[in-house]
Amino acid sequence: MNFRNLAKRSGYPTALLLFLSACIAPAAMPQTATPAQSEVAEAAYPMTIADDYGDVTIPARPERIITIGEEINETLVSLGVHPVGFGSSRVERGGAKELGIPIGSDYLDAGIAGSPIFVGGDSPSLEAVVALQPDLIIYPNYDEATYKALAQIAPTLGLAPQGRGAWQRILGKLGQVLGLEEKAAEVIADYDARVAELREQLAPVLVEHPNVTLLYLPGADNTMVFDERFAFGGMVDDLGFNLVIPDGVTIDDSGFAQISVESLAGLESDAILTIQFAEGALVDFPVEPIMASLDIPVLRTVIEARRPASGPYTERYYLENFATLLQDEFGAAAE
Amino acid sequence: MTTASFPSSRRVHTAHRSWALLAGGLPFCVVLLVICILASIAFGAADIKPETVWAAITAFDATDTNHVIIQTLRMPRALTAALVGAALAASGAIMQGLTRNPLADPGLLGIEAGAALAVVAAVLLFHISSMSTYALFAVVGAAATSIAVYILGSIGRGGSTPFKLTIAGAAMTAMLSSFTTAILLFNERTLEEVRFWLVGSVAGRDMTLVLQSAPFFFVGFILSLALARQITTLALGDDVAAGLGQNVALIKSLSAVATVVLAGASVALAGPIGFVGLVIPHAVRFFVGVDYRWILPYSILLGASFLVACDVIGRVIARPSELTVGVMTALIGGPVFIALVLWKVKR
Repeated sequence: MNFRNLAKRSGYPTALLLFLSACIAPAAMPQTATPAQSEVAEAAYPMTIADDYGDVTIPARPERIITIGEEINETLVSLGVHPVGFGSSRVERGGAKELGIPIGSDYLDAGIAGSPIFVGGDSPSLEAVVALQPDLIIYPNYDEATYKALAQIAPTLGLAPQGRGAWQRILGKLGQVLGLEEKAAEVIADYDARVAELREQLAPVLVEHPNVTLLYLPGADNTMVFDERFAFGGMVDDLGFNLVIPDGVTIDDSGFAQISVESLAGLESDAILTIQFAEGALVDFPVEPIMASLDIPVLRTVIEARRPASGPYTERYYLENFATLLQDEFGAAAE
Repeated sequence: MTTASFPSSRRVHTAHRSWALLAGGLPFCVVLLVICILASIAFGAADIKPETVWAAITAFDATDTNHVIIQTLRMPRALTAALVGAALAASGAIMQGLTRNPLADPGLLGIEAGAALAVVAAVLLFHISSMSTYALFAVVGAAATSIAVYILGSIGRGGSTPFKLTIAGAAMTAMLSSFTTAILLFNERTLEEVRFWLVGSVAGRDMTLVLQSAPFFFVGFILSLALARQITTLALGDDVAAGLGQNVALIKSLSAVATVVLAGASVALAGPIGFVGLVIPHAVRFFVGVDYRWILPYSILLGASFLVACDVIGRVIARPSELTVGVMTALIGGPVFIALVLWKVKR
């Protein structure tokens, strides 16, 4: 490694970090736990793969992976691959330690998540990252400067975890990079099969009650509506329901819009699905009396602040939650 | 005795005419406020016909969504905006008179920063989410900060002076704002829950909350109006006020209490809203002069009208979403304030 050139291009602090990390014996480092990969053809490397910022060359099969963000971490572990390091602002701010379970696995079974070393938030500690001597970093495309800094430490894939179908896309890339395309396809097929199963169960409900409005209620004066382009809306759409947006509301490519609760007047929908942080009716939330006056059933989903917005486990969790709520509300009548 | 010792008959006549003009202007301000409140009840994201608005007030039907919107959203919202606008303008006027600082507003004493920190910390530690609990913590934060600023500003010789209070307030504001920012940086959910409250919003306040806070506002208004003559004298300087027989320390203390009550109740009900306490007293002074017996009632009425109007505009221009009133006061109040400053500089 040419430290002088690196220092010129990226600054001396990063070069110094890399120099120091090179002095640490790699044998002392934990390895990324992966399933049997004998089938992986070493000849496939170096591999060039496109991410959100351009092309990334991966010189050899990655064995020491760091993930940043729950969505990406969850997608990686669904392949049976455990990262050596994990960064998350949700965990950094909320603290998984208080739950008494391994860092990074507060929303996953510990056996699935493994016990990666915590490297900080969405802009992780570069020192912690360097110390783990990663050979691949997977980063959500939150900030280009952070991406560039990480890319100087190890090959870094910048992949957007937002929006419908994001985890499937990430999974496809990771399967390709790790030589686990079949496993990736299997995870996606399992998810799709579960979607098809739930959709079939809900078929009688869909005949009579096909329209659902999906509201996100994070605060008393903050009401949002989702359409099918947002991950949550995509799940409801996957179940076969139409997502009804209040009259006059327009939603851009992000898949969500902030609305005045007044715009719910005249809403014609079979159900309102809410995503909220607390159980039951929300005291003092102005949306409550409006929803109560609409004569539309309100079905409530409580979310954990640290739970990711998407991912194979997360989406399955919410998908089943939505399906249960809709089945419980309309199922008996439909049968 | 020279004629210079007495006001001429012409000056007395002019003063009487000014008094009549100023007194006559107040009913117009009341009418303006009523029009703004009616507009606030009539206009919003939902298009509701005037007859439905009337029916919602006179024959409320809880199963009619439009009636619910009028009764549970728009009426409390209009009253909230009126009370908060009036209180911010009055407390800003008192602050400017008390500190003899033309840039003074309720934020100067750290009241808003203290309330904001208390609410953000309460959301983080106790997971509160209701507006009434926000209000409770905001009052506690505002009161605690005011006391801390007063104690800091009273240290040293001469006790509390406008200069020392201003410095203490600025230091406290900077420190508390940093703490608030740190909490928000490290807790995504807290930011999500309070971000609208932090910008300043009158949406979503129910009538119970408005009625609970109304006594604080009225005590503040009565106290400030009762002190108007003394604040006018105090604005000329402590020595002048003392020379005219005023108990300067008592007047300052009572004025500070009025400011804390008004600004604390405002920030509790609507969060920190800028520019009203700064711009309205300046605009009023432009028309009525330096007498606080006129500045205060005009500030109360025009501050109320201004905030209600800002809220209506914010709801109408961004339909079916809305711009929070804190953003609107900055968008409207900022240019108005610059225009006022330019006008004064040119003079």
